[in-house]
Amino acid sequence: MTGTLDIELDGGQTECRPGEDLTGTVRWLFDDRPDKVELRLFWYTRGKGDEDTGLAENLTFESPAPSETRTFRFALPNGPYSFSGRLISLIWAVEAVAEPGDHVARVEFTLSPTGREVMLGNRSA
Amino acid sequence: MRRHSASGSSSTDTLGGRLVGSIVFLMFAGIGGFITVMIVREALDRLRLYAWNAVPCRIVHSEVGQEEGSDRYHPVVEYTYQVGQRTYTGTRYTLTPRRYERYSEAAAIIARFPPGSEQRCYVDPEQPVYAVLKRQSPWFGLVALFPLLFVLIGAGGLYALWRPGRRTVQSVSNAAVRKSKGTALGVGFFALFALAGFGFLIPLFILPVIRIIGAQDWPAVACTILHGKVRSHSDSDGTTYSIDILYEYEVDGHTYKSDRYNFMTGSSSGRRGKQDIVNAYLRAENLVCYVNPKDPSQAVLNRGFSLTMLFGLIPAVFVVVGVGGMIGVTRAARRKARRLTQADWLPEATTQSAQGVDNEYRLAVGGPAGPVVLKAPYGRWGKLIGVIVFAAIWNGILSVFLINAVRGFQRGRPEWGLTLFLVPFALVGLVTVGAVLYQLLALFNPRAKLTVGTATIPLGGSVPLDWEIFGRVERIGTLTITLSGREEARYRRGTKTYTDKNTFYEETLVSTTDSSQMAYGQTTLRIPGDTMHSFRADHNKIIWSLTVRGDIARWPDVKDEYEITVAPRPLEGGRSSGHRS
Repeated sequence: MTGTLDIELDGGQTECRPGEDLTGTVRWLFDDRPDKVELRLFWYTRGKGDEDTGLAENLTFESPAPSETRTFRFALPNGPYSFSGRLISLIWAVEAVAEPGDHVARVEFTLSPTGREVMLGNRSA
Repeated sequence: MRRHSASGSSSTDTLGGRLVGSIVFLMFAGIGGFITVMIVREALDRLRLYAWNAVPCRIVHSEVGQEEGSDRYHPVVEYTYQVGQRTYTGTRYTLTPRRYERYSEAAAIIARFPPGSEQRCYVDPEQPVYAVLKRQSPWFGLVALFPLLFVLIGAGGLYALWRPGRRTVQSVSNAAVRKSKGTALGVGFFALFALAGFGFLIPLFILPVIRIIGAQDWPAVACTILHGKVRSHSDSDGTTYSIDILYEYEVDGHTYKSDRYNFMTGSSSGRRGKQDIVNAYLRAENLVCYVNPKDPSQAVLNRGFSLTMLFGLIPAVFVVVGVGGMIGVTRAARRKARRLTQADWLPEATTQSAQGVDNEYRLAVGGPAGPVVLKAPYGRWGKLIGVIVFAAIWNGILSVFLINAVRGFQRGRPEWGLTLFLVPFALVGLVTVGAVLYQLLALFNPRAKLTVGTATIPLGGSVPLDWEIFGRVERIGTLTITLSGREEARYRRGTKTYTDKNTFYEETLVSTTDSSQMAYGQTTLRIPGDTMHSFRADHNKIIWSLTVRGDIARWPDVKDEYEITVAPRPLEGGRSSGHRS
């Protein structure tokens, strides 16, 4: 199965706050009917440590047609916040996966009370 | 906004990487395929015998044979059978000849085919001159499933590398989905561990014990040693030894032979001890062996328990780890399911309840209400036991080499290369002994008791912190209580695992040199609002903690760390704190 898969967040929303709704659109255009299209709200870590991931929510689009546009809405959880330190960064993302063929599209955003990534500088009080 | 789609590119997807991957997968598929073909050919040969005709035959002669210059045994049989009007003589036991390391293995086969007995043999219908007494099982072909797995891995890997329209953006969330299904996998992994342990424990320990108990009723029969020696078994891991004593005995006028010394199987290191046993049997007079009254072809020289049998208990470690792991994984999954109001990335502080006081935040995020007494995750006894175990393992292994080096000096032939090599390891060994003494002395240090308003504190929140020091407070020069936040990242490089730490926040809450103020007191614990809350994943953590330090002159200092849980700010309206991963 060949084709394209794309995700778009409404209004180009990238700075999100806990408790808000995250809405957007998934589009795909394949030469054949996919078995399954899944949308995952999740976080993952980057940095010195081995990668960790956590799944917050999972949506499965039933009976997908070869070409479709679907909207989605996720209620964002309270955490973990997006942050960056000297060793670890935590990134939130929405990822669409179509099977067969492992077609993947991903869009990243930040989640925190200010909507911006929490920066961990070395500081003493 | 960072966006990734199937049309993106990835640095891990170079042509070079695909070629290297292809070579690895080709090797997998090639070696697996070769072994699969060999096994399937053998299985087909065996299957062919099931089309041969079963024909009555008479055993003319049977004995255990040994080829000249070989220390292996094989069954020698001769039988006659009739096809049509013609009588044939057969000498094949199986289609492909088999050799046995132990006399008793070949003897057990011969015992089933005594001369003069009527048996059934299998004759090639097209060439009746070919016949066998025993058809080997074609189910042997199922063994091919194992190398076939390698073929499938190799073929699947090649397909994944070179399939048309292959996506170049890899899914990150697949790992999160797999993790959410990890309990069954974890249980399966530990179940395999336990099964493998049982697989070895049964033949190496349980069966020998059952046989020893069963042989206690076997009558003693006079026997004669025919030959005795220590058999060597060499492979790439070195040489091991086993006792090889062939003896004969008589029951009801019939002479039998056996080479079973005891009910243990396999071989082990240590030639001298086995040679002493063989020599003792060769010198012994009025020797007896113990014979199975139900099957006189079975006998044993030594039907007692021995210390070496304890080696057979080693697989029990795998059983314990496997069963323990299954219980642990299942319990962890149950605990996770019970924590309905708390996200699994938010660690729980190690606490014990002080007194029940309702707390609005706790009601919002779940968990026990405060105030609570904090407990150090690694207590002083835990630290002491940890260093003792490490020192014992390190110095235990080191002592094997040190003894060799010392013996060299005692013999007047010092091994300087080995000695110099061991010096840094011996120094580390001394440090571990010092660490044990240090932790032992630290057991007698004054102890701190920290009580906080609640077990979980939100970002930007503040709670009262009470401290109380038990023991000889006057020995402490300076007492400090520090709040700190740090990142911890664990990663693998090769076969080693490393943990890097970085403290991103530090605040001294208490610092005093006055003994009267050290004994007890209260302060306020304020968590900054613009930082990161506690976070725990498999490899990455954000840890908030309170550290109590007390400098003591000429004695190990007090240094106890107490983790606290800093939670995200509660959502308006008391909404729960997030989803499970």
